[in-house]
This record gives sequence, structure tokens and C-alpha cells, in this order.
Amino acid sequence: MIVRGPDVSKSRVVECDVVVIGTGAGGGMAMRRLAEAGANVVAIEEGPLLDASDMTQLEDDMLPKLYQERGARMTEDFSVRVLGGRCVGGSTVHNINLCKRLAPEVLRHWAEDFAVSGLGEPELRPSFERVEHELDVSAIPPGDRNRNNRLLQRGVEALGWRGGALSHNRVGCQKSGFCALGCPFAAKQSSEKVLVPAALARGATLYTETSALRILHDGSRALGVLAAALDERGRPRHEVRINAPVVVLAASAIGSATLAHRSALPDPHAQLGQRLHLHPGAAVVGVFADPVDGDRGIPQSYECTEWLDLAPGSDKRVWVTTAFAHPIGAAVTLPGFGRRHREWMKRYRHIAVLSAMVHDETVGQVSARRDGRPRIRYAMSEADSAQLALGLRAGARILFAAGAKSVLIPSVPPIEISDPAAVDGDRAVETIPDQVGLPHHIALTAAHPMSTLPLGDDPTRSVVQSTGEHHQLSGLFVLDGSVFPTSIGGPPQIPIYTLSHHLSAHVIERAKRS
Amino acid sequence: MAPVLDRSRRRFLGWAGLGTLGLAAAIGAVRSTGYELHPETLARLRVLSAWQYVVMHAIGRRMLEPETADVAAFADEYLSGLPELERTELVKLIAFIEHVAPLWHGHLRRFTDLDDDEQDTVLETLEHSAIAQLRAGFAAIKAMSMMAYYRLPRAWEAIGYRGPVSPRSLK
Repeated sequence: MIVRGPDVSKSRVVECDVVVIGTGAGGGMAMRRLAEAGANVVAIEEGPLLDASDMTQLEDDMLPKLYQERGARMTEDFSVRVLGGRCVGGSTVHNINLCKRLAPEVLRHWAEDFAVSGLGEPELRPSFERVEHELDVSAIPPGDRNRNNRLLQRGVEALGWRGGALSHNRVGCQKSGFCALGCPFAAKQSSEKVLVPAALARGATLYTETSALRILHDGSRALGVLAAALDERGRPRHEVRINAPVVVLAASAIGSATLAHRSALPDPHAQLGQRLHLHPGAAVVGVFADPVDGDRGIPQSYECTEWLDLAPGSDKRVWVTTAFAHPIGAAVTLPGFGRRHREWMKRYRHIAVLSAMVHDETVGQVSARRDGRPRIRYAMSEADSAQLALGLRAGARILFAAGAKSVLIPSVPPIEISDPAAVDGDRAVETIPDQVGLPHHIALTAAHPMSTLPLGDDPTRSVVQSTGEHHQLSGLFVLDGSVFPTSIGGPPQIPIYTLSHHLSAHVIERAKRS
Repeated sequence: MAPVLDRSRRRFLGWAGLGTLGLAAAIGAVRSTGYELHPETLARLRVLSAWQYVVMHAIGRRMLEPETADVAAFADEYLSGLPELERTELVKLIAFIEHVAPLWHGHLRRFTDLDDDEQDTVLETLEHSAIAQLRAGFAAIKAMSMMAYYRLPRAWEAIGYRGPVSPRSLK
């Protein structure tokens, strides 16, 4: 059953076994697993349920519909744009469907240095396999690579660097290129398409347009959630109190930490929201003689991993892939204004865009503002800025190797490069300095917030146990990207689906005991 | 928390903005009169006042030249959907550009009273300012201007963007 917030006509109290906050990869999976296990599940989602017919492919229409704060959520100092979903399905509705498992070296690092137990590669493998099967994960065929991705591949191969095909979870993809604005062809195997309907079919209840105000607890046990049913304009209207002995928090690393702060959860070791990682990234633009038309086709289908080594302490922490944008996104990224900017936009069809994403060590913080919204603090460190610069130099070399006439780093001031030798050897650091990633030097975007309620068996260094259950509050489980103890260095959807799939077994057990 | 971040853009605009606005007022650059707006346009505004609308229109004109779009009306609608904090900050920034930024170039006139080249110089100074918060503010104003124009099919045509592929997207 689905209950829309605007249809709630008066305050109400709901009783259930488990309440799930959020319906993205973590919440959707938990909701489905719990419903299948026979639990009486109620899920709440702040945004609406959208279907393919809502996806108009228009940037100005879809950004406010699909993204938190209309797609304009920023860190407090305005240096990083932080993307997050706000509809049923969460970020799985607007993501680019990239599918990668958690790397074994990352899992080993968690076990050895963060006291994480029971989450090694052998333990997680069955869940990875099950998730990949359910979501129809497959390698993107080489024939489906658009020119932007073919140019990346050409450059990587010309340089003799490491690269390869990416995998995705799409069925019936029309290659329209509008993934980040929601799929009008329902080709994404996303949470609201695959998991939420399965949970509803098993008797789960979903409150949409209903915002969690705080987690109810008595200091040692979770008691439920106090939420507000929103009206058609998104304003809180009626209170919905959901009493449940088990609460699953899966509102994303930003939303979950903010709600945890608002709920005054026990935090004796001041760990809550203190270890934010973002995977910040920036663009590098190549201008080609022939049209690239990067706006069409599957946006990301090839990767360069030459500069990505996920072993702890590595000095290669940057992932290079493609990152094309539709006109508004491109216009905001390209430098200048007026006639100068116009000249750049005229080259729209002829530009290829790569992104350099940092597997970040920078630690940010998430807390709640006085008005209840997230306060995100994140200032990229010098070491991560140097990694970003490394990635931008690599991107520039790839683009030149693929035949670009010139390359642009859209920093302030912009770096325009027409001589390939300027990004090779010793000159490269002069051309693209290590400081390029420091706050406000270049537009940074982050779509992978994580690590704000990290897991581990040491309560002085983590917020939840390795089972996902809160150290101090029994019955509260966290099942989203918040629980990663570190940055993971790759797209997080499969890791989140998988951890939620795996850890839901503990939630089911707890629900049975309750 | 990190002291550098505690000097947020809000504190900057609170301190520097108020201080220089006070200076501007003292030398007569701040006037809230002289901004004319058609009553029908004024009646439609949700967030911006008449003078803020006029300033945003002037900024948008320079941002998009030689193209045009109703940046001020778009900004008013866009701002109405933002949380109050961000809305207030952007409105403060509009005031800053109108009354304070021209002083840096020795202009004792408001932004809207400057000629095109002088306005461009003021905006370029913000774009490349050594003060990170001003660069961020410029980026926000630029983003609103670009959004107002590049959402239009005529803008897509001009750059060769083919637009949505599903017929229902243009219904």
C-alpha cells in the first residue's frame, strides 16, 4: 500500500515491526528483504513516487524533482556541490547505473584498520552475486560506447594505460543519454522499479512525501520514527508517528547523519557525522575537430584506472571516466560569461568531457542546522587536491592522445592548453598545479557522500557495529553509504545494495526477537 | 570546527557587506529609488523586490550577451524554491553587486548605472576575486543566468543540442 503525504488528512499513529527511512539502494533492499521475511514493514520517503512518464528529460524540470535542494545542495563554504536523490528510489533514480563491487583491498583495510568483522570478500560474495543477478548487472557492450567514451578508450590505449569496460544495470536501454535526469524508458533496474514494488507486493506500506523528523528512542532502544506528512507544496502538515521496535536508517550519508543529529542519538565518542567522504570530482574538457555529441548514448561506459590503486596509503587515488553534461550543466561548468562564454558553448557538439574523481582522504563533517537541514563541512586537503590535479593532468593527456585540438581545465582562472607537451613530464605540474582542487579553485561535484555513521566493532571509532546495529541504541540499524568506514574509490550503488542485502539478515533476526 | 570554515560566506557578507554598504551609503551610492518596474511585473514577483529585479535583469543581460532571456523572472521563481538561508544570501549578493562592487573600481554609481564595459569589469572582478566567497557568489549568479537561457529550445538550437528524445518531454 502506498500512502501519499498530501492524502493524510489528520495526524496518525502507525504500529509496525520495522520502519525503514529512505527508499534508495539501502532502504529499498532492506524493505524488500524484511517484507519477504514476513515482517510488517512501513517505509517512509521524503520525495514522491515518479514513473517514466514524469521524466521529461528537461534539466530545469528534473533537477528539482529528482535531487535534494533542487540539485543545488552545497557544502557550507560553497566549494563542493553535493548531489543526492529525493524521490522513491533515491539516488538510484538519477545515477548513471555504474556497477562495481567493493574492492577486496578496501574490505581488507576495513578489517585490519577499522575493526570491521564478518564483511570480508568471501562473506559478501553471495550477496554481491545475488544483487547483481536481481538487478541484471552486465558489461556494457563495446558497440554501445558513444564517441565521448570511445575517445577516452582511444586515449587510454594510445598511452598504454590501464582501462576497461564498465558494467551497468539497465534493461531495454534506448541510449538516449538522459540517465542523470531520470529514465523516460524505465530501463534502469533501480530501487523503485525492482525492490520497492516487490516489498509492496509482500504487504509493506510506503509513505511517500513524508519527512522523518526524528528517530524516537529512550537512550538505549529505538522506539520508532516521528515523521511529517507533507502537503502538495512540500510543507509539513500532519504528524505521522510510527511505533516500531526496529528502525532502519537509510536516508543517505548526508540525510542519515542529519537525522541522527536531530534525534540526539547517543554519541559518547563524538563519532557521528565526523568522517564524511565525498569522492569529489572535476571536469577536463577536450575540443575536437569533429562532433563528439557526448550528450547522446550511454553516458559512462569506459574507465581509466591507471591512476587508481585502492591499497591503503596509495599515491594513485584518482578515477578517470567520462562526464558529459546537457546544456545547463555545460554552461555552468564552462568558463567566463557573455561573449567569451558564448564562444565556448558554440563548441558544445565538439567537446569531450572527462572527470577526475578522487578516492578521498579528506574528512568532512555533517551536522544539522538550526532549521534542521544538513550542514556539510568539507575542505579538500592539499593531498587530495594534488590527486585531483594528477587526475586532471591524466585526463588532459588522454584527450590529446585521442586527438583533441586543445584542452580546458575549467578552473578559476581557466587553464587553456593547446600544446600536448604542456601536460607531459615536468611541465605538467606547472600547467595544472597541485593546488587546483583547493576550495573555490575549480567547480567540484560529489555524488557519493559516505562514511558519516561508520561501522566497526570498536565503539570509540565507529557509530554502528559490524552488523549495522547502532553501538548504543539497540534496534536501530544503518544500511546505506553512511556505514563505509572509508572512501571506497568507485560507484557506491552495488556496495550499498550488497551491504544492505547482507546486513538485513541481522535486522530480520532482531525483528523476530522483538 | 575548523576556524577557516567558521568564517563562512554568511559572516563575510554580514561583516564586509554591511561595512561596505555603510560606506556606500555614506558617499551616496545607495539609493533604493530610481528603479522602475511595470506594476504587472511587480505584482508577479515572489521573492525579489523591484530594485532587486532590476539589478538581476542587468546582471543577466551581461551574463548572456549577445543572447537574451528573462533572467530576473527566472531568478525570482528559482529563489522562491530555495531554503530561506540560501535565498537570503543570494539577495544579499545582488545588493553587494549593485552597491558595493562598483566602488572597487572607483565608480560612485550603482551597477545598474554603469555602461556595459564597466559592468563587465565589475563582474570579471567578482569572477576572479581573491575572496573565495565572492567567487562562489559569482558562480551562483552565473548558474541562475545560464539556467534561465539554456533551458530554452532556441538556446539548444544555437549550440546544436538536439534536446529531449521523447515526444512527451515537449508536451
